[in-house]
Amino acid sequence: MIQTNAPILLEIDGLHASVDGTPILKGLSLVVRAGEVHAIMGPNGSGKSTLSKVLAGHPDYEVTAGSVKFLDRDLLALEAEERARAGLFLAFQYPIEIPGVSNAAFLRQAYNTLAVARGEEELDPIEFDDYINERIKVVELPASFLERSVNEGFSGGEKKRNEIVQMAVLNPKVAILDETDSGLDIDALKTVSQGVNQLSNAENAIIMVTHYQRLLNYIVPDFVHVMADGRLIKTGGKELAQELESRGYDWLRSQASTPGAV
Amino acid sequence: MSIQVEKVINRPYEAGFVTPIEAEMLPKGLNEDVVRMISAKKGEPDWLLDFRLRAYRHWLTMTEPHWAHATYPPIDYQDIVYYSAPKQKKKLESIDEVDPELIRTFEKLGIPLHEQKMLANVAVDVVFDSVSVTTTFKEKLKAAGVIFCSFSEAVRDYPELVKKYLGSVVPYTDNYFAALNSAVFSDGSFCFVPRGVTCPMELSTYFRINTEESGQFERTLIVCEDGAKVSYLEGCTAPKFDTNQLHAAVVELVALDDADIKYSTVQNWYAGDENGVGGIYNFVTKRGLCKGKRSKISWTQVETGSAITWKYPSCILLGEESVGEFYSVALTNNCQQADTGTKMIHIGPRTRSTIISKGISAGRSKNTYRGLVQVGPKARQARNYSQCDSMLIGQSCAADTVPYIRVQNDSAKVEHEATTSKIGADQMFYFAQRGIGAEEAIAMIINGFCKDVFTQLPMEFAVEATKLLGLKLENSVG
Amino acid sequence: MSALTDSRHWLASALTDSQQPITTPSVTQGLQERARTYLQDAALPTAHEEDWRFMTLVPLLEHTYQTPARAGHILLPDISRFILPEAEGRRLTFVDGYFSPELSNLSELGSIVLRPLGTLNDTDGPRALGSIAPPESDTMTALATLFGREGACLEVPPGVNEPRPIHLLFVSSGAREGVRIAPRIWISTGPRSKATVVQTYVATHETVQAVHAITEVAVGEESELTHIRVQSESRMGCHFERCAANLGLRARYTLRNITLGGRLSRFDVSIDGVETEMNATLDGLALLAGDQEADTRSQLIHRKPHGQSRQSQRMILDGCSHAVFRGLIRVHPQAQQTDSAQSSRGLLLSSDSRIDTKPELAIEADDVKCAHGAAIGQLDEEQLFYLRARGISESDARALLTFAFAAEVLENIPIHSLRKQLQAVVLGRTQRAESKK
Repeated sequence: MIQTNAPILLEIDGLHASVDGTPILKGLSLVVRAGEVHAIMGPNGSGKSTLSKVLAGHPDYEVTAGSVKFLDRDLLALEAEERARAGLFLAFQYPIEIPGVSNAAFLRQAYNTLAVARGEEELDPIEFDDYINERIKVVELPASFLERSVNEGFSGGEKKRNEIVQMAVLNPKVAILDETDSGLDIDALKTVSQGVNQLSNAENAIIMVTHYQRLLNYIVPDFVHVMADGRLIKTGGKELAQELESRGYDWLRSQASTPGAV
Repeated sequence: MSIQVEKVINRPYEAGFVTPIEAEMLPKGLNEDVVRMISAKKGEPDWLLDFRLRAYRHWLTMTEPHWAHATYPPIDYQDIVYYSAPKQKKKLESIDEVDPELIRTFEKLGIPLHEQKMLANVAVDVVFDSVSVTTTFKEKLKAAGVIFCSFSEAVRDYPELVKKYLGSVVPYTDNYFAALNSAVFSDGSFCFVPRGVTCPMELSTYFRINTEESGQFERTLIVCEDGAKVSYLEGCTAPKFDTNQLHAAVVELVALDDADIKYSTVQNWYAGDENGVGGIYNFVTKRGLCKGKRSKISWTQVETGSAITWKYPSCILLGEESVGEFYSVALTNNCQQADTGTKMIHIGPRTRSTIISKGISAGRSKNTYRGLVQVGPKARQARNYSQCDSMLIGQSCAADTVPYIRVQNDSAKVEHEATTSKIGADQMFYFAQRGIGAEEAIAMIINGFCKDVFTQLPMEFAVEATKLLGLKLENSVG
Repeated sequence: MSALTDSRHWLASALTDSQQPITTPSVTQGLQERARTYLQDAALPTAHEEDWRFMTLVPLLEHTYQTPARAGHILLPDISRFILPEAEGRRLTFVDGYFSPELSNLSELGSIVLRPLGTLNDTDGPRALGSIAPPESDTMTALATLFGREGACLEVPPGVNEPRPIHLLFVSSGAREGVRIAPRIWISTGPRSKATVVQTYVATHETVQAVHAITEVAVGEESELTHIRVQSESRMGCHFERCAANLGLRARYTLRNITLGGRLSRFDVSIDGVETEMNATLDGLALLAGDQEADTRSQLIHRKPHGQSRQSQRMILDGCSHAVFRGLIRVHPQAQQTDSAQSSRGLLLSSDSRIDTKPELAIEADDVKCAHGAAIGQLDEEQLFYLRARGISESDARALLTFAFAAEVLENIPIHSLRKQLQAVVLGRTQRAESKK
């Protein structure tokens, strides 16, 4: 849903970032307004996942230049948990297993931390139980999964669905879905996509980071960006994704190397 | 570890103060005269003096063991005070006669001695250095038939019971520190629950070392007759001194037919400072004898203190179908060393045991689980399950798991599992991305890791233990 | 005589025997001098030592042993059942510790270098000989070093990929009682090479004897070595072996160890990952009966990051046999991202058999995944019932499940003839165990 006068949620300007001294992002810029769905596509090694982690504040990545504004705040000055509390959500490509900590306890802790940050009421375990049982329906997970340890022993599909449950619980302003389609069969892909679509509205925005076009059949983007060598080299509508699917990435790369082509 | 995890340990040790109270002490050093003097001070009968002297003479023939994974300078046994007691004018008849200074001390430690201020369902025996100061709810317990008093009183009032059971589970020949304790033990708690009685309240002993030069050598004896049941908890603290104090206790439990003893420990002796100066050497022998059929002894321990911990609460499963349990959380930080675990000795048929051990190492500490599961030829269809997990926090600590398993009959089943895990930077980032800060994240991970043990603690103390672990770990993850 | 004086006396007489004028390979003479020096102040291990607390040396000390002056008379037909067709042309055979050119066949070695130690001179032997298991490691290693008269030296040159196995065959003739045999084995693989070695100890007659062996293994950078060791010696003999392997950068080492023979046997193995990304697999099967005692002690040492190790030990005990398994996994502070798992399982088939197990983790790095599991018990009642419900008799069902328990190790032996041979042995033993009941 594109509304040119919608408020800007996220504004990335000339972002450079490196890991262990190796530059990965090399001047990336992107503006995301409320209500928009963006897809960032690119070949392996183009820096897609780095972008997700840098935005979420992973300590292994160092920002060397550029700025990121999130809801008019300097995102880069915030700690990882402060970014989450401000409303930035990352659905991990590889969700982490946390043995011994139940999903329910984890979700409640996260929910209440965010509620306090937003000046809302915390929920006690009973209230939260009602709330969460409603939310997990978004991705059709059984209630029993709440008693299991976070991601421990989950199948690939369950882990990804769990990420979307967390998104549903935390109600972020901007959600970054990092390769959420990887490792999903077609049914799980549909379930997860439907979940995301339900959560998408005019107040928030979604950034999908993906290698393949197939996710975009289910979550239809307003913008498709192509990423290569740490920058966005082309931006178009959803038809760009189909073009990429049929032609691959190489034709764009040769275009990009011609000055002024973008 | 990359980020915050170093920022969240080391709130000061809150129990580290000294009580300014005049003490009556024997001079430093140990010889036969000291043993005789301790016995004389307590007005003991000859048979007990005899027991002490035999133990002392045996101790002289033994050498200090060094197989534990711990390193420390040699202990000078002549540089220790073996008897130290707060000076009291006369024998105490009630709590009102206890020195107000002592009452204040225990209040500061969260152990109010006035019965009306206490947790209504917990009776406490309070041991200060070498002597028992007071025991609460004695009358109420007596009405139920339960004897709960200091060891000295038990020797005076119930000599036959003490004589019958003292040394019956841990003989003075057992090991070096048990022999030393048998020679010089000063006080401790005694509990006797007669046939068919379920003790109406939780029993508890609180141990406090106050004197810098003194060692603490208490002795606890708990006996449950047929069908009797008791839950007992001990807690311990000591002031911060930059010298090391020796704590060599002996605990003996006896469970007859169908008896059930639950023994919980929250150990928070002073651990020394961040450079390993000072702290308690906690060299303790704890053993329970499941003598009767279907008897049960369950040990739960939360070990957070002491410079060195060296203890293996054990069960001898003699009675058929008797049950032994060991649930342990051991947390070491800074320069602490813990070598702890259990022994489950299956002798009778169809005996069962469970071991759940959780070791957490942080800082430069070393945490060793050492356990023995032994199934004798007559322990037909014995069963054991052990789970020993270690968690490492930071790059300078170490965790060892050393289980010994000996099976001597073909109908037994023994299973042991161990894992090592960590609080990793990736886990912390995942929490952070969901808005959960480092402190809460660590608390959640630790709680999840220790859950199986905490659920075994009596309610009042589970909360205490959780808090204690959180305190101890602050700033260790980073 | 007390056990202590017994053991002193035994050691003294053993040291005297080692001075007998029997030729020793020139490449080991320096090591033997070091061993002799070390042994001057050494004593035989006792149960007071942690490393020996589960086993006594009494069966060894009951006899005296001598290095034989010559090999027993063995002909090719005597050992035909021990020969592996897959390894034909790559077999080095020793009888009673002596190299036997007649029973060896080295016609298809290709570029692989396989020689008896006795033919090596000071300059062309492996330079690292004696450095992976130095004589000073412990008393038993020193003794094996000192007693050593012959052995095998296998060197796989860089880049060589030999899919066919190489066989090191050690035969005891049993011609005389009280023979002492002390082979030393060296195996090294050059960078990016690949090889499979089978080391078997067999006896043509049951007799009292003592074997003291040392096997040193150097697995080169990015090379892959599969090492199979089968000890099926005399059930009246003693066998002590120290096996030490060093793993180079990204080296892969798989050791599968089968213990069938020996009145008293001990296999003391250490696998040391001295470089990054080591990959080690260590399997063991001990199948014991009668009064056999077998002690397996393993150390898997991770020193550098990204190493992986898997260990699986199986023990099946009948009669009044006794098995010991002590497996240590050690992770040094630098060895981050180590992934190590160990499992040990024991099956007691008789009421007099017993098992001592001590799996041990010593972890000094925080970002690692280590686990061990140990289980001792009997056959699964549910499985037994399932088989019986399908019409299989209880004793057949038991034999079948026991065999299946061992098969998990045997299945992974990549040499068809050896696998079949071992399966037959295991099947024979499990059926015998059942028919006795």
